[in-house]
Amino acid sequence: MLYEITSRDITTKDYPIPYPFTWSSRREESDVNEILDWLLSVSLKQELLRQPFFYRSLLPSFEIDLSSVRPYFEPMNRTSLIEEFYEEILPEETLEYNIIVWMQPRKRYTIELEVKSIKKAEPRVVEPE
Amino acid sequence: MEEYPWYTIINGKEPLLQGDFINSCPVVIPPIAIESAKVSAEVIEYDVAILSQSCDLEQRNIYLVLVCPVWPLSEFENRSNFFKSKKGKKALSQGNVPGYHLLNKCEINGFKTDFLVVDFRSVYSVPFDFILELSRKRERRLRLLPPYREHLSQAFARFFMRVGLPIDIPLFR
Repeated sequence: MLYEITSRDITTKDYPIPYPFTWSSRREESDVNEILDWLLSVSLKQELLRQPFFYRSLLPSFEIDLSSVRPYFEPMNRTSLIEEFYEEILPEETLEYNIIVWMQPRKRYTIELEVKSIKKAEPRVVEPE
Repeated sequence: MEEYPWYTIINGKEPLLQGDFINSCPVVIPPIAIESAKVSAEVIEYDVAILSQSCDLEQRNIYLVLVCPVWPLSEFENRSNFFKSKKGKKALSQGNVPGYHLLNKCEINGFKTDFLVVDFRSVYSVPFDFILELSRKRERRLRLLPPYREHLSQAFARFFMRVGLPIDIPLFR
């Protein structure tokens, strides 16, 4: 069963909300949530304007994490999902195939060579510049 | 993606670089023994891609240029059922067949090719002056462009640096 923390569970000691809570109905609770969201977005916009120009372009790249304000619980079974994922990709995607195909050259012919000299090779040094 | 084309055509007089293709490059296979002043040697010809590093070629820091044969994928398919299969082609395109590297088709007029397979198992060294002269005679040639050129080089390095262990760790069950 899902359990969603509502505004009723939020401590408002350092976070004044200018809205009188009545807790009279479910509808009002969702309204409070909307107000909280709105306040956060207004706060972010004001923060954005206070930042130097360079940081303004960066801030929208970050996602707002509301998990500390509005945690979301549900039964999870991630471990088994990961195992299934690995079992699925391992056999097909990561194995190497040791296949050798011997290809014939495009052309093959014989030439006669005259051997001018035979001598032991000497090292050819390439000096760094 | 037009911004990152695979190939370009260059004038034969352009300096040699890694990823240049030289068609019908002869390779002399020396006889088993040289016992007289006149010997017979076999010559084999391949269409090759240059594997030597571009900086070594530009600065002429090497005397022998490393090349390896390049084949149209269709010829590989004719010789191997593995490469004929979808699974084989997928493994090849994913770099899971050591020793072979797949390159894209070339769609440039006059130089159109099938997908190309570079064969790292048959590398040859060709004297620098010889291949330079050969490339000049060919007037124009195909060149593999970055980053596909570096990808080819990396694939060769991966093939070359393989280490076979005498005793493998058994698979986890």
